[in-house]
Amino acid sequence: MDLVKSSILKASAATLVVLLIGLLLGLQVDDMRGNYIQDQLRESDLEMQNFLVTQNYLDDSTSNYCGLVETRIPELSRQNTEIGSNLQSFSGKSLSNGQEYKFLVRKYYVNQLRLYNLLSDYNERCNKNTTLIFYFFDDSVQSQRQGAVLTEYYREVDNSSYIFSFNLEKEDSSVLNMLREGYNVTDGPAVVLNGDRTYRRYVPLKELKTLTKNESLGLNSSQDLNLSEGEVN
Amino acid sequence: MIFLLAWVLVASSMFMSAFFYSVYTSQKSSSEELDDPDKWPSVSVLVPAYNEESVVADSLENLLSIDYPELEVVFINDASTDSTLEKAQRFEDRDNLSIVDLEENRGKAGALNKGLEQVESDFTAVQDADSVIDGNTLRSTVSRLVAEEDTGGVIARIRPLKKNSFVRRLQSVEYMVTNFHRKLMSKADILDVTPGAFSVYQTQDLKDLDGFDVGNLTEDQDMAWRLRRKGMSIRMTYNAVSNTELPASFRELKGQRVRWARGYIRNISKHSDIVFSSEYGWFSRFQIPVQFAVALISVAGLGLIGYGFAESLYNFLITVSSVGLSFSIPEYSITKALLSFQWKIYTPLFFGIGITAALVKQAYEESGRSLEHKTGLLFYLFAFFFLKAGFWSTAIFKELSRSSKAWT
Repeated sequence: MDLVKSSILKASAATLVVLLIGLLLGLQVDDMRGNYIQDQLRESDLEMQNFLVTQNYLDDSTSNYCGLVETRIPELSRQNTEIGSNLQSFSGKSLSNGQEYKFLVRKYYVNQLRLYNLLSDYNERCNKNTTLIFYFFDDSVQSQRQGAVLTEYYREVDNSSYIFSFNLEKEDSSVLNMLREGYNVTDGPAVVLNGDRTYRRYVPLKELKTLTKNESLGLNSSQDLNLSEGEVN
Repeated sequence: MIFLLAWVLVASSMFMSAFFYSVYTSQKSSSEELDDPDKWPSVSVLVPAYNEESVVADSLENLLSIDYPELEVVFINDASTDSTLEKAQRFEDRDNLSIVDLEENRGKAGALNKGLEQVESDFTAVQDADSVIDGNTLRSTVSRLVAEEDTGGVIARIRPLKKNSFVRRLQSVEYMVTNFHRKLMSKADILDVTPGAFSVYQTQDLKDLDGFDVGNLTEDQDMAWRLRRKGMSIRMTYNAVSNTELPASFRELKGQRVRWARGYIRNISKHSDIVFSSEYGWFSRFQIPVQFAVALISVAGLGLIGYGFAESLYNFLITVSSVGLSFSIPEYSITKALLSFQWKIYTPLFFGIGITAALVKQAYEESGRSLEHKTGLLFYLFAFFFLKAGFWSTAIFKELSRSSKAWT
């Protein structure tokens, strides 16, 4: 066999083997991505159950409840943020094509809503002004800008606000559908402050700070939790 | 789509690296040592020059001092407007030098053809006026041409004459790798160029082909392809060396490389009837299409990287326009970084880089050089690809706009 022919065959075989290794490695890592997020969700579940059990054990007294929430919330929130960030970062990989990704996202949204309910309860029972923000986004530029604004806002306000983000574009879950219908959100970006003020547009950082400040002072805020609107665009 | 393109790019790079590595491992036992011919054939060296006053004296002095039995140097002044002719005329007292002075500038191919008209020697060598050959170069290339009847051209290794700028040191590394690749291509009998820096041909072959193609941007490559079409091989003699003056600045380098790329595109078009043809062996079936595909892939790769860069810049600008400049150090996690990798892309990429690195190491060893010009080497390994792809993109754009102008 001549040199070129044999070299083409050897190079083709080597390339195929390497591509196959890459493919297998990719599939393996895809599994690991799923497991990694599953583990985080399990840990978050455990943390939440731990919290609920402890709450029941300690009785219903307000001081016990508030103290307990204050110690547990940062960890629960950190876990949730990390899961969200991992789901987002792995979404471009092949995991995003599988049913598993959708399942993990649904699970994550349930966790988000559970945390939201917990924090709402905490605000009410402990008389706190923690701002809770629902953020709905899609692939639009305005959503991208809103994402940057919320990231910066969260970085600045630290623990006085919590953001719960939902991707309108890719994911489908009963939690998401319920919220979409509840707040009448069709496109991103949309921001809901404390469950009662809906902004179906891009909200700049300065305005967001003013709005959340007003929220914490109780200005312009309706107590009608269902379908109220801050602004119609 | 982007993923698929990236995957094709890395798979192709991996294939090319593996191909050359396979040729390399198959050629270890070969030797270039050839016996001297019983009688050395007569040789004429054509030296075309246009405005080469700074280098022509060294080049002629070098050629005229070569120890070879029957050597004639034909210097062709292609209507230079500087003192090139006067400098060459200082050597007129040498018996084996003849000077052809053209009144009108004919371009390199035209000048070579004028010189060829008066050649009666068995072999004809072509050497650029800004090149200087090592003492054994002529004999080692000629002996190979004598020994191998089916060989139409023998080329030498190219080394930089000067390394006094970063761009030249970068090319020094590039030529070292290119020489090694050419050696492998010579062994595989798919070599497709006879560089102007120094190449030797059988005179009759050149005359049969009516000399060089006037107006061709890369007449040396065209000649190699036409010899191939005659069923002849092009070989490299690795221990033959031509030291040549290389572009000293990026601007000069760009001018040269865009011209080469445009010449390649035009030669592909000119010889399109043999692309993929089995009549001329692996040269037409593999070398021409693959070389062109590699160039196109490099352009696509540049586009892909440009797209990624533009996307990052776009995201950055969106962030800045929304919240101003804001920096925060992201949390670093090795696990997360490894999980975020696209292993289907990175695996062939890493393998390809590994094999390429092994070939570059071998190129250093074969050229007898230590690990010199480290900055040039790093630039060559990690950035030269972009530069070359940029030159190719420019060439393709220029050729396309030239075609559209021609059609309208």
